[in-house]
Amino acid sequence: MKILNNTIDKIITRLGTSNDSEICTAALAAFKLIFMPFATMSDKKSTKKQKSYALTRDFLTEGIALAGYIGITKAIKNNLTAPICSKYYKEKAKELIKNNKLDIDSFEYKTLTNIDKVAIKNHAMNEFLSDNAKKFTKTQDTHIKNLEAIVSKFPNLQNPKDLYLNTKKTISHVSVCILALTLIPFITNKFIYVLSKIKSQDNEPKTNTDTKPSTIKPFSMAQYMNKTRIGGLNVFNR
Amino acid sequence: MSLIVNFLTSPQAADFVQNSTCQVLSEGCLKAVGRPTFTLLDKTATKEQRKYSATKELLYQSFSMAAFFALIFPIKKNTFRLLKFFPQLKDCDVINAKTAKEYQEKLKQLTDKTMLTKIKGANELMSIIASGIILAVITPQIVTKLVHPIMNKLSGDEEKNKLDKKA
Repeated sequence: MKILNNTIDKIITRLGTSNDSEICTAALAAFKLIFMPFATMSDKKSTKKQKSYALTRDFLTEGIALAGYIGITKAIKNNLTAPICSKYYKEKAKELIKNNKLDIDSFEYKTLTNIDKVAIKNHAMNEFLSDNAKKFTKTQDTHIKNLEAIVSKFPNLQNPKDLYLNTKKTISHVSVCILALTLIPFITNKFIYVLSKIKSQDNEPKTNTDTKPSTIKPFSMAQYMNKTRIGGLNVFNR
Repeated sequence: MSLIVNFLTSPQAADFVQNSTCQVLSEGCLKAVGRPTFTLLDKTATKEQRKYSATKELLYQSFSMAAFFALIFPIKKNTFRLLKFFPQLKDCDVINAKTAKEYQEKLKQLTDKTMLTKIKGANELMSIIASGIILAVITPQIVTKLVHPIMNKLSGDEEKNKLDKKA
């Protein structure tokens, strides 16, 4: 009971702080993976072939969706968020230069255009990590403190932590949408193609190579006609 | 490029995608387009199999979006009544609210950030479970009953049958 309570506590805290799209969509895919095939099986009007195809498709699609939402979205999120945050600060620095609010040689401009991507990620994600997993070096800490000091001077700029978390959430949703629209049905089609190939190979009649081919020729009509001496009368061709 | 970066880093976009209702709706609408299209493109299956599966998927996605729209908002309004079943929230006064208005007022008065996060998370968890029941349990059963009459209507088989009977 205590383990269950702790798990629920972790889940609700996670959903309350950062409800990323892949959590909800993966949970729904898991639900569908269990219940959709049941609904397809209960359809009494469809033919056996229609049912088996729809069943395979449902099962494969939801299975791939579940794996894709958890695996691919996580990979995209982890690898793209920090570079996009860095790009954001670079573009904002250029805007500030255009509006004559910064000099190219200034410390602020140099900091905004040379963002430490690992530092920004560690700074934002430390909240969600256990004490042992937290990573934050002194140089990273100084970099983030400098960045926060610059951001406080310009109201248009987002602070690094909020920026990272916001970008992470949006990237997560965008990748879920791309997966749902194209990648998952495409991969499902490929899987079905492979499965149909395997099935067709299994259905092909097996030829036994060990035994010698039969030397007995089929009894032809000509042979029959000659044997029964009806051939001479040519009764079959009349 | 800057447009994409602006969109991805915008706090408004992040707020929008945080809501599980928005997540389900946007994903569902895209699936309603993508899945039947790819099913029809699958050349390994026969025409009948593709037609059945694609119609079923299209019907399911559109019907589930409608059902979701109709049911999720009334459910979400009343999820606060179930908060008392979470032992993690037993110390919080918000769970004693009897009406939606009282709940909102108590929520505004709550200053404990951790508790606020947990209440938000509990609401999201219940919303996900409700979505799962609507989308994966109820809707497929209804769609299974609807798929054949609609498929017949789309292909004009019903009219053919009627004409045959008349003849």
